[in-house]
Amino acid sequence: MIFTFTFDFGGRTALVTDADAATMRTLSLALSRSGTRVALFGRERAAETARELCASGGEAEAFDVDYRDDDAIGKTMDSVLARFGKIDLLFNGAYVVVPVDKRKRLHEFDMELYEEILAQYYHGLYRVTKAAVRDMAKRGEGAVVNIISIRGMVPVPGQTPAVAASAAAVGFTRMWGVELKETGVRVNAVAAGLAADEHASGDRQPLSHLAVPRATKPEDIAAAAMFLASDEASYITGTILPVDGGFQAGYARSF
Amino acid sequence: MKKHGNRNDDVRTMFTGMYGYGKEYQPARADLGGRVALITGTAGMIGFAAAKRLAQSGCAIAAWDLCEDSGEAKAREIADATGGNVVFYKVDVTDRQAITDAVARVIADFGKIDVLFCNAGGNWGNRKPVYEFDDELFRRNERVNLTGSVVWLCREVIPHMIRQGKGSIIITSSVCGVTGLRNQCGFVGSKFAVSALTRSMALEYARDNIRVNCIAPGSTPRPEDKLNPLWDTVDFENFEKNFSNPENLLYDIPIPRPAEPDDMAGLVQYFASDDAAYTTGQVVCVDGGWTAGFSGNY
Repeated sequence: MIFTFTFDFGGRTALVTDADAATMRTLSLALSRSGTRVALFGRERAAETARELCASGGEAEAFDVDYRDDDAIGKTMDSVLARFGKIDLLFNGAYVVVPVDKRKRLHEFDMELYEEILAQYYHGLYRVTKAAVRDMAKRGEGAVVNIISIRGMVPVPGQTPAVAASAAAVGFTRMWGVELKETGVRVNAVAAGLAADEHASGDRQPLSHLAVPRATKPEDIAAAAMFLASDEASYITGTILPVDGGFQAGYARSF
Repeated sequence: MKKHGNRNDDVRTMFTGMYGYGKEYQPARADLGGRVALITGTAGMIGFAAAKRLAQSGCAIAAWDLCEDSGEAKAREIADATGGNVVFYKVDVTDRQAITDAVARVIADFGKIDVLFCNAGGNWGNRKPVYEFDDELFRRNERVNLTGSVVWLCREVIPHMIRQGKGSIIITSSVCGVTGLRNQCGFVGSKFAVSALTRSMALEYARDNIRVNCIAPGSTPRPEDKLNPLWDTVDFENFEKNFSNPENLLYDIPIPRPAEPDDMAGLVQYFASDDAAYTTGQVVCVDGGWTAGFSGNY
């Protein structure tokens, strides 16, 4: 992981959710290296990342949270604030994709999986943001970056809850970006493109149709997210930045 | 065209001759004879107008609403006005079993469902930014507008449409499902989601000859909505002034009048008809140009 840029987030505290995901782990490492204290929401991998950051001189702690339990989210947010005192930057890991073998059309879709995905990526996104922004608004500054799926802008078949939650996140980003103007909080999103392991084998190679014909890397997303959270982006709010190899820009197949 | 801005004019006649407002409608008629339409939220303005229009076009109507008294009355009103076959069903779309049962009853009563208009919904909120938004109301927007009204209902109806080899699904979203408006995050999230599901469902069911389209209504405040907190910035005493006062939200709407339910009914009828046979996955704003851009002199 080599970034050619550096940001100085010295003294700030970031909360990174869904930190078991590879992209959010990469982002956590980059944040720590930029002087940020990092709270991570996640399970084993998040705890491992936190240990790694502490071992390399950073300050980090992982918190296990059950996104299906609204009260648990609130309590965990309280623990984060008790531990770090404040949250300056919130990176919502709201990237969701339905596993290839679970992709079904709406009338055949597994409704338990539907509810699970909505609990974490729709209601969880709202709950975590609500608590973090309450703290930011008190201090009159802060930045939220939602890391979402490009499927919220370019709907795909077979993934009802992922499309719904990602599109809702697009809506949240745009409206939170404008409604928080009195608070000094900016809200933006990075819409991440297609990852390498998300295609059924024998599929028509969706990646070959991208303008940049490769899968999205965690570094692509982390870099954009850090920019949007930084003071360089102080005039940017309510935007969705697609980092997707051109997926949403247009139709890249030849006719 | 009459000049607007005269406070003595009645709102309903003010714009007579402008953009079709205030004059007798000459609605386009589609021939939907022999078809069956299931419409939810028929006690509401948009559901009622759409049900009436489809009944006029020859559809038999299965009219669903949560509200029994007004739902029953509105269904009778449509039947009396059109001579059509309109049957009312009291259904709560947040009750999954109730949806399953009611769809079975519609199939038993009518034998098929050609048109599904997922229209039941609402905007619940306390008009606060996200960090003070009411959690219970946030959840209700999602349960009703997204999961109940669209996901659960479509799951029940689509297998019948596949069996029939044809179908048209129309979903009610909102301008809030296309752009971000402040202080109503429960509504915005649920409506962005259904706008997107319109497109993914269109992709999923095109080969089954099922089309899925979406209407995104704009502002619909009218004098009888005076107490609705959603429109707390609207000046109902001098209604036309809302469109000439740059301080007011409604000033941003290029066509200077509130949306009429019939504005929606025409589009619903089009999506339901064979004229739209090649149109699917579309979200169309019926909003007087509101979301086209900013209408101020920037």
